[in-house]
Amino acid sequence: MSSKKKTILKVIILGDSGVGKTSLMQQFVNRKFSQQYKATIGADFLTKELVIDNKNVTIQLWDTAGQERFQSLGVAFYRGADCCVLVYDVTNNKSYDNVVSWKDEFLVQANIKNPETFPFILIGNKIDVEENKRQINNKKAQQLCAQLGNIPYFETSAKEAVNIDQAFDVVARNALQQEESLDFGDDYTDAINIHLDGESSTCGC
Amino acid sequence: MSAEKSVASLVKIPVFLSGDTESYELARDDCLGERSSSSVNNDLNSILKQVTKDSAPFSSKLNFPEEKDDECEDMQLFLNRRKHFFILSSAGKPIYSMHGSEDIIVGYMGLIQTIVSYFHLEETAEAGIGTGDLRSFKNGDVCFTFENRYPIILMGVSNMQETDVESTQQLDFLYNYLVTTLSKPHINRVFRQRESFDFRKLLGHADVACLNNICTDLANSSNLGLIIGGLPCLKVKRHVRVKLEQILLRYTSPSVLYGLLVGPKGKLITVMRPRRHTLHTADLQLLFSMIFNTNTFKTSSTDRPEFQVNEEFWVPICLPKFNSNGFLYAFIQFWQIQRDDLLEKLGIGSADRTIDPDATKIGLILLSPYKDQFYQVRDISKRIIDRIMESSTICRELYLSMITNTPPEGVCPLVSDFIFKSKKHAQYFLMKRDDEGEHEHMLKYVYSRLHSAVVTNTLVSPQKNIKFNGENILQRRMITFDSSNFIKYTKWKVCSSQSQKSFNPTACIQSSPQKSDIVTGFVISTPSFELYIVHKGGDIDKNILAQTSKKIIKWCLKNEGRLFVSGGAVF
Repeated sequence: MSSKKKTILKVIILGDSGVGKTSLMQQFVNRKFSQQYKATIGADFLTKELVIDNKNVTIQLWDTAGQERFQSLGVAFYRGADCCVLVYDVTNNKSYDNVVSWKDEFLVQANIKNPETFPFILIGNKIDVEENKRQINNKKAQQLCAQLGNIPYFETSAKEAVNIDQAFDVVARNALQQEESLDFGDDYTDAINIHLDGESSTCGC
Repeated sequence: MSAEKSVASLVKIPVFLSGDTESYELARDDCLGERSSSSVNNDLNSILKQVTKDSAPFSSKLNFPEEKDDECEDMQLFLNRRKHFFILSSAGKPIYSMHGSEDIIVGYMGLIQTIVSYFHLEETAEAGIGTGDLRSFKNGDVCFTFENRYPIILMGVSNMQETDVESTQQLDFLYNYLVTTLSKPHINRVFRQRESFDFRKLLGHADVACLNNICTDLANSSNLGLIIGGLPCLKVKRHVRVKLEQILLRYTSPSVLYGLLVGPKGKLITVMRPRRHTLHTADLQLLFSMIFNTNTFKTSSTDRPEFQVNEEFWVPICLPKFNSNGFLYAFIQFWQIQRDDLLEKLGIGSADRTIDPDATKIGLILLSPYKDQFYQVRDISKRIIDRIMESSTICRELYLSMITNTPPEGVCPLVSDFIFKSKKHAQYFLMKRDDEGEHEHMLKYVYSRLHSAVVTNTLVSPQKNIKFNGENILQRRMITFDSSNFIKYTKWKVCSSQSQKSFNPTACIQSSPQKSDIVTGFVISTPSFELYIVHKGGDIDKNILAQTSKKIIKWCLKNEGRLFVSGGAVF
C-alpha cells in the first residue's frame, strides 16, 4: 500500500469572506464557476490529482470559511498543512490589508516549526473586473510578497479560469517539497527496549 | 413489513426475516442449579415462562452477504457498505480505510478530522478541559463512533445494530494494532517531528493486510474472541496439560518472559509465565491477529497459504497493555502433528489428507525482552518441541483434540453450536457440530447480538444481588447470581438463499413459511460464566433449550480443567 499510494498534500486556503476561495477551488478541481455567492459553512473539502515531475500527488484542499463566526475551527484545521494559500480580492483593499493577519493567524494556530521556510502562496483574485474597479495593482502586491518573505504571487480569475492551473502547480510543487523535506529513515524497531528492572508498571492485569 | 422489504432490497439478496424477540431476566428468586433436579427444572422453566416482550427488538437483518475490504472507486458501493473503518492522522491525512479508493476517502478524512476537532474544541471551551470528545452519533440506523487518540483519529460506521460500547471496542482494537506494530513513542515521535506526516509510509504490506483482515472480521463478526472478549481454548485432557506445563518449566530462562503453546486458529493449549505477570487478553488477541490473520508466517508457494513448518520467526511486537513504550521479541515456530511416521508410532493410522494442514499444526511462541537473544530462544524452542514430540501421550491427545470437536454423548443432542466462556479465565470453548458454510457468519452474528444483549443488560440493570448455593455440580462451585445474571432468548426467521432460485427480494418475502428456517439464540450470563447457544434447523422448544443449557453448563463446569488453561506453567 505504502509504495503505490500517492503523496497526499494538505493545502489550506485562507482569506477574507468573499474573495473567491471556493470559486478558485471549484475552477481548479471541477472547471466550474458559479456567479452565485454562497458562504462556506465551516469548511469544505475537495481533492485533485496532479502529476508533478512524474510523481502522482493528491492535493487535499481545505477550503475554509472566511467569515469570522466560523473561525473556531482554527487549530485543528490548520494542523499538519503542507502549504497555505493566501487569497485576496484585487478589488477589495481591506482583503489585501488582512492578508498579513491571515498569515500570522495561520502560523500561530498551525504551530509551524520553521515559519521562514513554510510555503505560502499569495493569490490576487478577480482580475477579470474592469481596470477602474481594481484597487490593488501588481506592484503593490509584489511589495506584500517581498514583505511576507518573497512568497510566489499569482493574479487569477476564477471566473474566467485565468492562471489557476499555474498557481496550483506552484502550490503543489512547494507543498511536495515541504512534504519531502523531512523524510527520516530511522529504524523504529530499535525503539526503547523493555528493561525488566522497572517491572512494577509493566503488568496490565 | 416495509422495513424488512427495504432491508432486503438494499442488500439485494432474497432475505426475509422477522425479529421475533423475547427476553427473559431472572426474577429475584430465580436460580440455576440442581438443588434437586426437579426443583431446578421448575426454576428454569418458570424463568422461561416469564416471557416479556423486548422493548428494543433485535436486528432483523440476519442474512447479509459477507463484507470484505476493497479499494473500489464506485461511490455508490462505498456509501452502501454496512460497515466502515477509517483511520487518519490528526492532520486529516488518511492512514487506512476499509473501503473505497484513495480518491474517495481523502475528502472524507478531512471531514472526519474537522468534525472530531470541532467537538473537541467546543467541549474544551465549555468544560474548561479537553475531555469531552465526540464519542458517537446516530443517523437513522447508522451509527458513527469516534476515537480521538491524538495524533491518530479513528471512526467506525455501522448499520449492524451494534452498541456504542461494541463499536468503541472495535476502534480500540484497531488503534492498539498500530501500537503493536510501531509502539506508542514511535507514533508520537513521527508526528511530533511533523504533524503532516504521512503515516502510511510506516505501514508495510503485512500491516495493511492485517488491518484489512481485522476489519473484515469485525464487519462480519467472524472473530468470536473479539466478540465475546476471550481467547479460544483447545480441549485437552487435564493430565496432558500438566505434562506440557512440566516440560515448559524445565526450560525457563531469563531470555524468555512468556511462552505460549497454541493450536489451530490460535486456540490456547498452555502458557508459561513468570509469577508476577500475566499477559492481558487484549494483548494476546493482538498477537494472535498478527500471527493468524496474515500470511506473514505462511508459505506463498501454494494456492492456499499454510503455516510454514521448520521456519523460525523473530518479530518485534509491542503489547500495549503490557507496555506500550517498547518492544518484546517474539520467536514463533509451527510444526505439524499429522505426520505419517508420528501417527504410525501413535497407532492412529495414516494421515487424513482431507484435513486442512493448518488444522493439525501446533505453534510455539516465546516472548523475549531482549532483541539479541534469538539464538538462546531458538535453542529453548527446539528443546521444548523435541520433548513434546517425544511424548506419545501428549502427541496423541493433541492430535485427537485437534481433529475432533464433538460434544460427549447426550450433552447437547439438539443444538448445533455453543460457546462456554469462563470469565475467570477470560477463555472460551466453542463446540461446533458442523461447518455451516455460507451460514457461518450469520451464526456468528447471532453470537455477537447475544453478547451485545449481555453487555447492554449488565450496563443498564445493576440492582439484583441474589446468591444461590446448589447441590451436585454446584456443591463446590457456588453460582452467584447478581447484577449480571441475565438470560436472553431470541428467534430469527431466515429465508435460506438456497431455497430461492430467483434473486428477487419480494419473491422471498412472499415465499411460504416452510421455506424459511428459524435460528434461535440463547444466552445465560452469570458472574462466572456465559453460555451462548445457537440453534439452527427448525423451531426448538423452550423447555428443551432450558434442559440442554443446564446439561451443557454442568458438563463444562465439570470439565473446566480440560476446557481451559488455568494458571499455566508459572515460574
